[in-house]
Amino acid sequence: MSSDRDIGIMDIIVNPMKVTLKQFFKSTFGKPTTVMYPLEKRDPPPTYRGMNAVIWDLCIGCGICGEVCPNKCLKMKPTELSDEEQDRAWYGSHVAKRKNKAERPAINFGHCMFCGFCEDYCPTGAMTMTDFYELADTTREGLIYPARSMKVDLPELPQLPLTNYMMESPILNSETCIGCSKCVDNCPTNCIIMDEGVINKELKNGTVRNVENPYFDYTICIGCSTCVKVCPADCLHMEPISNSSSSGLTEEGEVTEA
Amino acid sequence: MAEMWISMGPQHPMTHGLWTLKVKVDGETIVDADPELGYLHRSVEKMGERRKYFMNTTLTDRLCYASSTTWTHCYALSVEELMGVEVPQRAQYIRTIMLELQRLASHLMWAGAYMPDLGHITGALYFWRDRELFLNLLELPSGSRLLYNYIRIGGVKRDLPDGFEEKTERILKLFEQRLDEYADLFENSKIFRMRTEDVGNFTASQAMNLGITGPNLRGCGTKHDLRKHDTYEIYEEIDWEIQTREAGPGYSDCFSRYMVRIDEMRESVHIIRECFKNMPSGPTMASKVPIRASGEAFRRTEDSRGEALMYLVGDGSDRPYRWKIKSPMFTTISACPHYLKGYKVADIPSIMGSIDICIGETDK
Amino acid sequence: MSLFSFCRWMAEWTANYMLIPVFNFQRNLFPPFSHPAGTIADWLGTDGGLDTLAWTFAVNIAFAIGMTNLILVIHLERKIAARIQDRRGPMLSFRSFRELGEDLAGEAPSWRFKDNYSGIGILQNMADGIKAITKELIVPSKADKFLFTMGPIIFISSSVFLLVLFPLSDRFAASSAPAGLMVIMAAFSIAPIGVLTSGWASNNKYSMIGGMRSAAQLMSYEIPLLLSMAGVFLLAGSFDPVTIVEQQQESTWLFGLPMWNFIPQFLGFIVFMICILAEVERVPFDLPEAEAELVEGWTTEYSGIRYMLFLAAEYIRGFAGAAVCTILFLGGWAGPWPIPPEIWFLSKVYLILIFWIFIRWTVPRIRTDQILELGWKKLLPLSLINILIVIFMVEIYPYFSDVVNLPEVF
Repeated sequence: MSSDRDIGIMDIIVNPMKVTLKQFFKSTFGKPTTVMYPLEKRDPPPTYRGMNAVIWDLCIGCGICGEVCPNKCLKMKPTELSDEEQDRAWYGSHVAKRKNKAERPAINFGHCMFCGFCEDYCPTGAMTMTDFYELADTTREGLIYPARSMKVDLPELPQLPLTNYMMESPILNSETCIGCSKCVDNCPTNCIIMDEGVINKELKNGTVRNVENPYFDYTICIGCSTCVKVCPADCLHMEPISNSSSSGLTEEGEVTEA
Repeated sequence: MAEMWISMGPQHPMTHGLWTLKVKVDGETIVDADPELGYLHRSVEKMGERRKYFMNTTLTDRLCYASSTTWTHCYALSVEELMGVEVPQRAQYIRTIMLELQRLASHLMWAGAYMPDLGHITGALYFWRDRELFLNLLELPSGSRLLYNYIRIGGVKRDLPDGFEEKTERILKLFEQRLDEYADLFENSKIFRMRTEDVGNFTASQAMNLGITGPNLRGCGTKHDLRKHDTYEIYEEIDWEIQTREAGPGYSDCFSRYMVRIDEMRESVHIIRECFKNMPSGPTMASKVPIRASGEAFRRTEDSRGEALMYLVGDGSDRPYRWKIKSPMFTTISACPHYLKGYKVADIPSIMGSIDICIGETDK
Repeated sequence: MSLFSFCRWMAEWTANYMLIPVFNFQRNLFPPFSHPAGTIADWLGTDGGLDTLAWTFAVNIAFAIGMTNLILVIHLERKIAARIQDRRGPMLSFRSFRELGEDLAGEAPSWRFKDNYSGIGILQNMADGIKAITKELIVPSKADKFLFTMGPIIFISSSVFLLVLFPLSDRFAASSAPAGLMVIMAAFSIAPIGVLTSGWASNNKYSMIGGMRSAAQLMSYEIPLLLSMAGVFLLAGSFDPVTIVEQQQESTWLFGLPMWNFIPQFLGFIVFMICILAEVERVPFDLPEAEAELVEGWTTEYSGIRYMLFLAAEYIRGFAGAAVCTILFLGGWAGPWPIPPEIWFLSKVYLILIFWIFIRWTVPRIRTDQILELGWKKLLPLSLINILIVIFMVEIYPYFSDVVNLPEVF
């Protein structure tokens, strides 16, 4: 190895200076490594994780991006959609049917650390990260980007299958279900239907009636756990179900642990 | 001159982070030293207990900004043991490549930070210029330049992009050429040797007693590397050797610690080439990754700075019940009175720089 | 016409036509208070008064030249350092001015520059100067305020004083004292007092260690420095720069080339180069202000224009050191005819400066004990050997030259 040779008097100044002189001439007559930043910019790779952008036509407002955000800097904001946007939306017809307003993500970039989880876990591919990185602002308020400012329109929409990256799906405890169908109203992918459930169930107020229970289509369930959050009777909980292997309507007890 | 205490830090060029070194000097000679840690404590372990398993890779990235992939990998290994996830073969190869690229970047970061300690600004810029090459490589698949978040539980985020192997090979060739070029400027320079040789000595047995691991221990001539001894990923399948150096029989000085890292960089280049040689095809992510786990898991890996240990307890929920990180630098810095005494004030940056301080992982 | 005689002429003109009439007018205007002004007016007409005025002019001219020169030296250092480190160095000053204008006026100013902004990085020095001037002068609350203020004054004034002392050529010289080089070395050794003063007065441990280091280093390097210069003085038989340069021109060797002192006294040249490098505190001998362990040493507590003037003074000392080296060993302003001697002198000085810049960005800093060891154990004996060689050349060799018949090198 070159470093094992004897060190002589030439190694005080002369030999080290050979290296620097060589570099001096190389960068004087060639091109230095650095770039003049505001004038020249380097090209980020296509995978670059820069500022977020949301393809609104693909977004179904499920809120998974806010769920997986480690810093909780991403929040779903109720947004008024215009008729045209309503029509173009992938699940547009369904959005119109829902009782609640459509929700779209808004990001506080002062807290964002660009980890890319929102992009990775988005079930429809609506959340994307651009190669734009010059986000500096003079105020903290300027870093809060409202939902509409994140909107991008693509001329051609990639039609991706719904994917459950959360690896979990809701399970119903039919004994406590009161059949309010709130989960159906709020499900962003319309994967729940109400059907025949417990017959002659005795409710708390003493009345006895037939209660409809929700049934889940796990092929299009994205594991967003919205139904669990809105359930007034706490009859739903999340359990690991691999959506690629199991499909069809399943109820508690039939599922094997993943 | 009478004896006096000098407080170096928390804001001091020598510290490479936030910590205080109090030294008692007699004239210019160090009589006693007292390190003070904890300025950068962010309670990573407690924060991790509030987040889901998969979210914690962002925290482990930030344990040490110079070597984020290795720490994330240690976390991913321990969570995979906890959950019993089998990582596909291709993902293991990609992980090994990424780990070695990260080790190169980390060692270059260290070498660049070490040179200004000796008053050699040019060295910093040379090494950091080369580090840029590896950051460019790491950026290609992960999409970020510093905090990659690329290694995930159960595999890696995405497959390597097209042309990655050719780009890597080109950069590795350039890097090896440059390392040979730098030999005259650094390790063969007389003044560099005057500053580093026979300074900051500790013996191998002393190092083991004090818990000093990694390149600092290998600088004493001890062949200890967890990549071989507690092997993980594909390190046992490929052909490589543990690099050691010693200043004398069984002890190290700043120069041997410098040289062992330079040798390790050459070895990392070799490992990356070996990985590309027999890389299988297949998936890069395990098919089933649960998000809940119970039980306990413990893994240790060879970080760029020594042994990284992680201990995890799960209680069946989707968040860890207890998470403990053991950082190699915590013990090494705490042992600094043992190898600082008797040297000059001007040697402090030279010695403390040579052990490769990273305060992020030390204070957690 | 020498610089001093030009200044003397200017002083006479100013005294006769501007200052003395004003003082006389004042004496007539306020008879009761006439005495002091009258004394000044009387004194201005004398030789001493005119000399003082002439010196003031000379120092001001030297200061202006020195400061202009400084910008060039600093720019040179920045650019060469950048090229060594594979960077570009300061490039975009006009752009920042333009952006400042945009900030202040709200729109881009009417003057625009071409998109390639290269070659105007020298304005970066102006920007740095403006920034340093506008910064607050902080005096630590527990510092010795008088000495804290005096330290920079001693250091900077002694450095600026250096600029007046060395001649650019035999015709362009502010002073032509017979003991010129001795005065220069005396001015060089005032600075350690300022360094020690400001290091102590800062009431900061880093500063004090830096000051002590500087004092130890400068004192131990003074001796080999002067001893290595002694050889040149022996050969020339004078301390006068003009005589030394003339002596170097007169003695010839191969092909009738002038034998500049670095050929016969190569040992002395090497020792002098190392010592003057330590004297002006440049890398690898800049340990009084080692930024890695002492956080800029004795300048730690200084801010604003004081800190900038410290830096400026160091560059001035570097320039002066290179100039002394040129006079002593590189034949001063001597050179082939078409190029004027001042240009020759400056180009030699700049060559040495560039060499120093290369050293600075090539080697690390060495340690305190090593630097003292080098000074006392290596350089001192070497400089003594050099004196022995010179004594042999000057005193003993001429007696035996007929007998021994050495080749005509010396």
